[in-house]
Amino acid sequence: MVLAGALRLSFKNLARSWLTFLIAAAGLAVGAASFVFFAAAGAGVDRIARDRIFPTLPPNQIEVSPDPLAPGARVGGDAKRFNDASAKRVAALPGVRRTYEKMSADLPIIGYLKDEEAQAFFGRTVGVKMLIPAEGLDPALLARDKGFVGNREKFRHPGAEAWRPIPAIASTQLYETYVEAAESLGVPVFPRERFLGFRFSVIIGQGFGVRARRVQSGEVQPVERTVEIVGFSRYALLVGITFPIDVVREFNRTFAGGPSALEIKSLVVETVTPESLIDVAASTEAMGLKRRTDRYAELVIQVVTALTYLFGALSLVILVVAGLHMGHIFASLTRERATEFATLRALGATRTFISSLVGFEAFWVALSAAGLGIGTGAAASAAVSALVRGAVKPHSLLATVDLFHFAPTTIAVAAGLVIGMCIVGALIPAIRTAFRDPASALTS
Amino acid sequence: MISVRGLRRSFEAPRGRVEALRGIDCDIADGEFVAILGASGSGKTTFLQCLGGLDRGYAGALSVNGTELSAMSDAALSGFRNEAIGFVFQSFHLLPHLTCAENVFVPSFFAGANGRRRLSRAEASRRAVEQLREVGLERMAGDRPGILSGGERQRVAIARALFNEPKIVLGDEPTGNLDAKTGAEIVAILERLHAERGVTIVVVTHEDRMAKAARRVLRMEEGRLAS
Ligand SMILES: Nc1ncnc2c1ncn2[C@@H]1O[C@H](COP(=O)(O)OP(=O)(O)OP(=O)(O)O)[C@@H](O)[C@H]1O
Ligand SMILES: [Mg+2]
Repeated sequence: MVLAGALRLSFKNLARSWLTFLIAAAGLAVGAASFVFFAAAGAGVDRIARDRIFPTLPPNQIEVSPDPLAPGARVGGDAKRFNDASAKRVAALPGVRRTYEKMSADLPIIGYLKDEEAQAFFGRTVGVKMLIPAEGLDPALLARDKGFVGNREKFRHPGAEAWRPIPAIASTQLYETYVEAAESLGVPVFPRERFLGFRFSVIIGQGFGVRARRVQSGEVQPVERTVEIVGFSRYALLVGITFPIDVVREFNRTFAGGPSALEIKSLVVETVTPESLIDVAASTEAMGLKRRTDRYAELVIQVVTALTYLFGALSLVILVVAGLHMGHIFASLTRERATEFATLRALGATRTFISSLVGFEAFWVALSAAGLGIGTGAAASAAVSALVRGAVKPHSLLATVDLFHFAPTTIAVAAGLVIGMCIVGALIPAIRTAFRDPASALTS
Repeated sequence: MISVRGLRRSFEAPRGRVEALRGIDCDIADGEFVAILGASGSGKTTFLQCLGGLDRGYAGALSVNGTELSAMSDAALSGFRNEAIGFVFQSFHLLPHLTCAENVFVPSFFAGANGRRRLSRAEASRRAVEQLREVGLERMAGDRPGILSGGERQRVAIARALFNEPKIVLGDEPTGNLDAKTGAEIVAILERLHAERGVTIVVVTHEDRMAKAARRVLRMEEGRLAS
């Protein structure tokens, strides 16, 4: 190793003027700290917004449904229906890995608690009946929900036997809303697991004053069934219950009838990569399908992203200024040490040795600045987290989520930026020192 | 063998062009002990720096053992200084944060860069202590230069100059910062070095004692040798 000597000497020099080097590192550390802090805060808030407040789809999924503003949509080719055939057409688009169907229940469903069901859960009878929106979902989609709680296996058509409860899932966000509400109302908060296996009764095909088409026409009678909650998913209907799609298909066929019973409401399209999403979105739009977005959620996430970029840019400015500052410190430091470097040159140091020596010193400064900065940033975010957690109620959203998210890339980028800034800052002093005439420095 | 022909060196200073060396011719044979005397500003330091390969900005011819110094690349010249030359300065120029032994083996740091085998740490340190023993400072090996007297510091600097066992030692007023008694010690060490190892020694000096120790005295006057 040609430069092992320079490395060794740089250690010695660092030990001598560690305070000066620390001062040089301070600015960069502040920059790194603020970069890490804001990047982690941005990523954290973005994640909370996406996953918890406005769960949107993963980056390789979109949900599409027929655009009501494009009547006679080309969705099914010649047919004007959005059905299995349309789903196949979408699945065949380049870049699509799989599609998952969603279907609305085209019939009224009333939910209520029988006395024994209410006793089992609440310990008393509850005399409430209400109309429940329902939807069917391809069970395969649950495999894509990392946050799923419950038993995915149970979420399938229960078979023909009427005594078997129909499995249903509820919305993860609905549960969180309930927790928020229960907290502020002082009502006991049950953990999600408590609701798994919760059973209630439904009357299918009969609402308050409304009936399903084939009930109306007297072809079939409303049926009473038991429903069991088997899980919580982000793909579940926010307000209402979600059944396996085959269950809803059967309900629609039995109680509503007609071709509308075969119509699907929307299609979750999974692309091969997040990058192929743009093309797939364009192709589905060309088919007359509209991408389902929550405009409000998008807006909030965009604002968060913009703020993150703004603070990230601010940290970058701090880093650049700190890099220049360090360059300045290094320039004056090396000028002060001109005789020392000239002595090394007289004893046989090459220019490469001298510039490497200064480079190594800068590298140690960078390393300590990066360590110090990232540590400080992490500590500051931990402190803010603790403050927030102490200030909110124990079950509220902010108490259960991490306000900051430290991606390994954030840390790597922060360290890279600091080291890069150090190299840029120390480059000119290092080269200038190496080319300074040793003779004149030793004459005085 | 050092051979100097028509050596000139000028500097661009704010007050105008300074002719520091105005044509020097001389030969210094291997193993000579030469003292250079002259008034302040007569060009002694400039001459010595040219001889040692520190200053390449000269005109004329200057060769050491047949090699013209101005023809060497900077890296080659660095290697030449590292191996063939030992510098001793008036104000010592020790590195204050290194121990005496470390100061002495600083020249070993550059061996790798100059394409030679680098000594192991232990070997470098052992040889540094050996050199310190030569100047009678073995017991100071682990001390920082800050606690040493001027004479002791200069002896450490001499040990450093000798580390790579160069054939030529150049001293620029090595006793200039020392009192008469410690100066005499330095002169004695250089004399012994000359006698025992046959090292070529060229010293710039104001001291009679040093001039007497040298076998040959060169006098400089305004950038020229007066004979
Ligand atoms: N780097 C330089 N730039 C400009 N002028 C210089 C430079 N180095 C030396 N000189 C000038 O060259 C002349 C010779 O200087 P030098 O240092 O060789 O003298 P010296 O004989 O060593 O003097 P002293 O006994 O005071 O050390 C002086 O006039 C000096 O000012
Ligand atoms: Mg001088």
